Amino acid sequence: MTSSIYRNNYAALSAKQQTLFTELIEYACQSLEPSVSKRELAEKRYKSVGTWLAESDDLMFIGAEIYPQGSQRIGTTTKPIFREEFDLDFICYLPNAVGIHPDICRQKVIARIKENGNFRDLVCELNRGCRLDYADEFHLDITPGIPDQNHANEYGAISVPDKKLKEWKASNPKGYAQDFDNKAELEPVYIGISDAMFARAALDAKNIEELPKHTRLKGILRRGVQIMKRHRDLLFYDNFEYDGKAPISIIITTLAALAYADVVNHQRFNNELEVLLTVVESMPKYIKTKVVDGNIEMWVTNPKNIHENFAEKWNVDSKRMEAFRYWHSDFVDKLIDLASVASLPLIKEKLKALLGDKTSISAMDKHFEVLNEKREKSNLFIMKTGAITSAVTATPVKANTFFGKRG
Amino acid sequence: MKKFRNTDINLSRQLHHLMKNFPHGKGYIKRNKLIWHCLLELDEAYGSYKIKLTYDLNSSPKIYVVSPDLYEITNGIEPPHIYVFNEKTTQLCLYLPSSGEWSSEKYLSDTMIPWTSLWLMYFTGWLTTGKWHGGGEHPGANESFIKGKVL
Repeated sequence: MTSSIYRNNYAALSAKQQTLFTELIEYACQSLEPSVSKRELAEKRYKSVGTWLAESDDLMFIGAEIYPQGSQRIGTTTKPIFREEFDLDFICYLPNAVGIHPDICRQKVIARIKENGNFRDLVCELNRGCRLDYADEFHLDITPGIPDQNHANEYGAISVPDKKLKEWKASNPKGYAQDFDNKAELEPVYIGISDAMFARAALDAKNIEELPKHTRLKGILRRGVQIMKRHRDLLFYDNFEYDGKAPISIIITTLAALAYADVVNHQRFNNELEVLLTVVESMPKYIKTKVVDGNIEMWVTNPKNIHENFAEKWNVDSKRMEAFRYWHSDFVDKLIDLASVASLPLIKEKLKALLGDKTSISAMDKHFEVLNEKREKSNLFIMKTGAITSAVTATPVKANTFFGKRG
Repeated sequence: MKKFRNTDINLSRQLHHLMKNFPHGKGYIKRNKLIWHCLLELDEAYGSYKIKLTYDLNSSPKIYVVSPDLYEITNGIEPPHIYVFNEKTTQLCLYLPSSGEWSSEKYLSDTMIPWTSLWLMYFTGWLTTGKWHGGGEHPGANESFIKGKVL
């Protein structure tokens, strides 16, 4: 089975056009991530908070350790719209806090952080922990965690305060991340990529670049999750009808990972775009129904805790499930729209509808940056048709400087 | 008027090379002037353009975009790096004069034509983002461009 979106729309595109789409999605995602320097800065900052906690004289902080969880741990961070700060989530693991009431534990963590003049003015309280607010950079959200109190008996299992701060509940961000990584590392199998194809292409004097390549997207699953989350943020921004009911990231991420692992194990593909579309299209299939106490419930099960339903709220608020359906069909529609256009200005418009104006411009800028790098290195060639290519042909493009009166 | 040099490539050799590199183009030499028409088929994202090249050994080569009508596409807003831009004529600026990038000792097929394709790619980029991504120089100006206005 192939994705019907792909079959009906993308299959008609030339290899070059498909490559262009994949490239633009890759560039768009790069622009949605924190830069390397921002990531390094965040790492430095959270580590210094960890050191500060561990240096406390209070016995509760012996062996304290801070580690990333959530999207930044699994590499699916996306920049929020209309705000500079990334939200980065951390667990403050306190092996010696067992037996302490979760709210006391949370308060002690906040008090200790505030003892440090460098952090004092940055701290604000959150429901389950606290936030260090570095303006224009990021929010470091810290949740305390203690050794597993819920008999999860599993790698990475810990306990974190529940929302009402009354008790410790099971959590396993490390286990979830490892499961996600394992799925993301699965490699799709592509149809018909062989030396014979290259040989045939050479015989037909075809451009090698026309052949599909599968190294363009940095992790299809991760990139897929990023564009889904970005599209979700845009779609529900200022949406009165579904205010506060947009599908949460963990639901999108979990469904995408389940779909990816499944389709990659059972199907073969023509290219990366097809993988992405097949995943997107099949995601709703992984929402399960369960009969609980005589009622039919919708379940998006935590792969690391079969008793946890990420979609718990759907069963008390059907508007949330409706919001998911609305998001999913809009996302699919916009991908189809993107596939229906060929010219660069129209591609940009469709990309803007999917991922926002700034992101679409960043992707285009990067596209030309890459072209210019090749131009500067004299790695551009012209084909007999007049098309410019980076595949070696007879005529290299010599250096030139566009001149003449300005527009 | 430019002095004729022995190292200049004569018009029939120029035409021969154009025909060899771009077999679907058509051209002729009449009264010491080379006229060449060609459809440049860029990737789908950039489109296809009919261009016309005129050249004689006494002046620099001139490249015109015949169709589509760029003036119509831009609603008359002049893109960067253009010599003539009106309802009738679109003539491109492709190289820095007196820099050696172009000389009559070089082949049009190796220089002017690839530069035209590149120009058309950057033109499409300019239509898309409002920015000219291709760099270049303008007489007496260092400004960067945004569609329709000078920053």
